Amino acid sequence: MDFISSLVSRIESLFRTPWGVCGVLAVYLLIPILGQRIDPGDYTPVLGYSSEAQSSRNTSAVSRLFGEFRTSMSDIMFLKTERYIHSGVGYQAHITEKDLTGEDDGTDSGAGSETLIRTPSDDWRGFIGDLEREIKPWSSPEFHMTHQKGVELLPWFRLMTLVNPHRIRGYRIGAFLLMSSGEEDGLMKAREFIEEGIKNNPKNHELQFMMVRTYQHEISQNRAKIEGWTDEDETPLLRTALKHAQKAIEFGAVVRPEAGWKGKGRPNEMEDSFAGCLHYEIFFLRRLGLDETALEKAIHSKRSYGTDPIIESEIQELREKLGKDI
Amino acid sequence: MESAAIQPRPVEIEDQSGPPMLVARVVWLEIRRKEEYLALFILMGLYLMIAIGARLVGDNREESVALMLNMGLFLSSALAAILTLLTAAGLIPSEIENRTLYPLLAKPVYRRDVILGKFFATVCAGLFVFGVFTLLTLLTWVQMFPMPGQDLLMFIQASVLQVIAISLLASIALLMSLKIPKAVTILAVSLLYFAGDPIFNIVRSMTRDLFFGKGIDGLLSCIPHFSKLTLLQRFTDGAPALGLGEFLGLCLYGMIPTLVFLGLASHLFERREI
Repeated sequence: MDFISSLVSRIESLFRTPWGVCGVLAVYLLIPILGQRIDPGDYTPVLGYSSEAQSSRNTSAVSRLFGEFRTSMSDIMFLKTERYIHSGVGYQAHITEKDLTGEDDGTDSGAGSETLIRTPSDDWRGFIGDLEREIKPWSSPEFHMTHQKGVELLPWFRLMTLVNPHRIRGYRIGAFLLMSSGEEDGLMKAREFIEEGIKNNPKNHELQFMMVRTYQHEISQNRAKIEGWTDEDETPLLRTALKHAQKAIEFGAVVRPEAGWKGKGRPNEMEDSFAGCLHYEIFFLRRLGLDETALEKAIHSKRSYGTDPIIESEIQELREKLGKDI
Repeated sequence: MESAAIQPRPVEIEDQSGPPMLVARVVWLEIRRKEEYLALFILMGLYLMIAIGARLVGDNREESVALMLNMGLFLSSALAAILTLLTAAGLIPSEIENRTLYPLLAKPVYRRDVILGKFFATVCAGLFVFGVFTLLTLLTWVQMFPMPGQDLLMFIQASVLQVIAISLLASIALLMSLKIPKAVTILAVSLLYFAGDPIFNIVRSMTRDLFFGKGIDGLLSCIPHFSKLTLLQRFTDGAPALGLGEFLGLCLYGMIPTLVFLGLASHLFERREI
């Protein structure tokens, strides 16, 4: 205590002279430096983030009660966006006999179907029910659903990544919506969005994978749209995409558990992104005419991260092509 | 009617504690007397009631326990922060308002000793709440603590950093309460503690492309981010422990501004006309 007391006393005396103030400011400058270099919030959660864990947790009354408190602003946005995109209305699934027998000719209305928010005829809550139907995404099941474009959701994704720059799913899905929006500059905006995500999460493999997907999308788009588009025109795009795929493998390999990410939901997304980049790396190398390297990479992937039918078939094809023994 | 309320222990003449500790002891007694702080215990009690209920009915699934453990630790740290903030922001203004500061300053004590004493008492109160509530949470889930995947070293690191966060919170609140009304101090510091990061992130993103964006980013970086010091969520999420360099860096990240703000508060208080 005496030590702290004398230390504070000395610091206090520093404020009495301009040089002292300068000294204090100089020491204080360590704060922004340390703050920029250390980001303890940038980590991949391990426990309880799979869909199975969430489902299991949601069956616990106690957890549900407390889980409400835990929901952060960013989570609220994500849940709201999910609800909105998956048909806009919280319909409960309803399958009729006609659906099963294939006799549904599309003329049958959904009248009488149950919805999460009750229909007026089935609602005993009076004006409270009316209020809920007005302010929540609800439409009558008697009418067909009007599907809307995903781009309407983009402000939500923008906001959720502003609030939490480590929300990888926000960047992923937002970039996907931009990329597939059909807008002229959609691809460019998607790339900018992912670049922002990479800037905030420089070691994340999923964002690198999304970047690879934008290049793949661009290549497919150019092939379809640009007349006379040749394989040579693709080379620069392929090279850039390859770099991102290799970065994704490098970053993913550091954090990936030995047996891979297991479980539905987030673990599955992370594993899929990693595996996707392993595949893309081989594809891109092949398209660049580097078959030998592609075969080496495929064998290395199999040995280091396990195999799957795509890697097996690539190895087989490449060996046949290069005339190597299987 | 005589109540069995806690009576302050008279300070013994032979007591060799320095002036800051004597001031701290008086503030500590004052904190113990305030009934509103019992509300924090009631809140924690509610959590414990539900948590113990969950244990008794046998809800021991890993996912549920991880969430409940997270909630318990979050409540412990949040309630400790609230107590620290409410106490630190109100100490000096209420002493000035009640005119109890004058007899205190008439004693042979430096003004900085008053600030330090109040700081120590506030931090002790915060740590007491954090320690007791964390202990109760851990005792509730003791058979499953730490859960598979959770790193005990991370828990220790998070606890140490939480202590530093509480000290930083106390120093900021004390400093601001010297210049700003109590209510504004409480509002501003609670925003900084509980929602500082999202607010800074939004401001940074909005100004990134402006020509003064870098300046704003630099300015915001100078404000301590409590999210870097409150890492109990990182422990319950099963993230690995911090490296030694990172941990020590974060300790400095919290301690440097704490000492600077305390020094500045002492300096401002020395010069203040009362």
